[in-house]
Amino acid sequence: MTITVNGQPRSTRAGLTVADLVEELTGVRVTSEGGVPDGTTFGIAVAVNSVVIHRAGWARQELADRDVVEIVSATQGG
Amino acid sequence: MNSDILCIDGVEFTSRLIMGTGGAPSHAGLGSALTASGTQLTTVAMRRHDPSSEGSLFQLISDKGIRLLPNTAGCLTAREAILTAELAREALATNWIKLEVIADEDTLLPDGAELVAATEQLVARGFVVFAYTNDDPALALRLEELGAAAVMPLGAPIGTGLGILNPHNISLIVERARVPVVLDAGIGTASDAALAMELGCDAVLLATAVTRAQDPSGMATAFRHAVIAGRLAALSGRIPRRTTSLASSAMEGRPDL
Repeated sequence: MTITVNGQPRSTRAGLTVADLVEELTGVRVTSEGGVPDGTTFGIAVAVNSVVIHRAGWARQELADRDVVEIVSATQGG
Repeated sequence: MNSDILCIDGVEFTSRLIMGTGGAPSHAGLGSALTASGTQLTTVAMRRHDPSSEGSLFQLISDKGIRLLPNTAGCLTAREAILTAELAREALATNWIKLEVIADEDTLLPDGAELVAATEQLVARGFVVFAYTNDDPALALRLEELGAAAVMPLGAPIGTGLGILNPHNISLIVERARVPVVLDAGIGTASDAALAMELGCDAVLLATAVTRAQDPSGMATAFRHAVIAGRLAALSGRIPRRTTSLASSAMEGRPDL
């Protein structure tokens, strides 16, 4: 299936979860409760089709064909 | 000055200089400038995650013990601003948000109608809203009524460095608002920040004036002192303005020369 990640098309396997996708992009695997292994605040948030997915739900949320995913973090800004 | 605390949503600050991070050429230079400014609260924007970018800005600021204030910069509608705020709350674990809803990308001036709608909805969703607004006393008070934790009138459009174009309106907002007033945007140099504090603002927020200065750390130090100086002046009761001179040396007892 094909999803859009931060504006770019991306071919992925069916059944990919938000947690899987974040791990592919950042190398960090969140726990099933949404924690980060080193216990810090992760600094990343995810919206699927303009709905924010809370981190605790990433491992359960499977992506579907043509989903639009935005993955954001803090950058410089006034 | 240690007893002169700025309190927002129960959080106490001894520094009244809120820093933005936009426009800095490198994280290292930005880190030095933030330290030099003495700031305890600093804004960040939420953008698409770039795994190749240098280090984590979030971590850089957090490691300095500085509280984060995410913004909704670039949002043109209340809907976008609310979604951005929700993303920021999720990513950074804070319910504080600097609300910016701009009318167009040339002036970056706030869109009053969208700002009002977004403030109302964000407050209902449990956010602590720092509302970036026009220097319009009526609009600022409306935002306060809707539950904004602080109102942040602009001195001049973002990034212009034109200073405070309408000091009278800023004074009107300061006189009437019960929530903290933060002069946001338009600051060019240290005296602009001192003036904002002398007008009675509770804090100053600036970014470009430091990040694009030739020596950002030097300018950040200047702003740290300017905000303290302006605050002390505001609290210390300036002399009334006069149209004629008033000698400070006594005329009595002059020698007959």
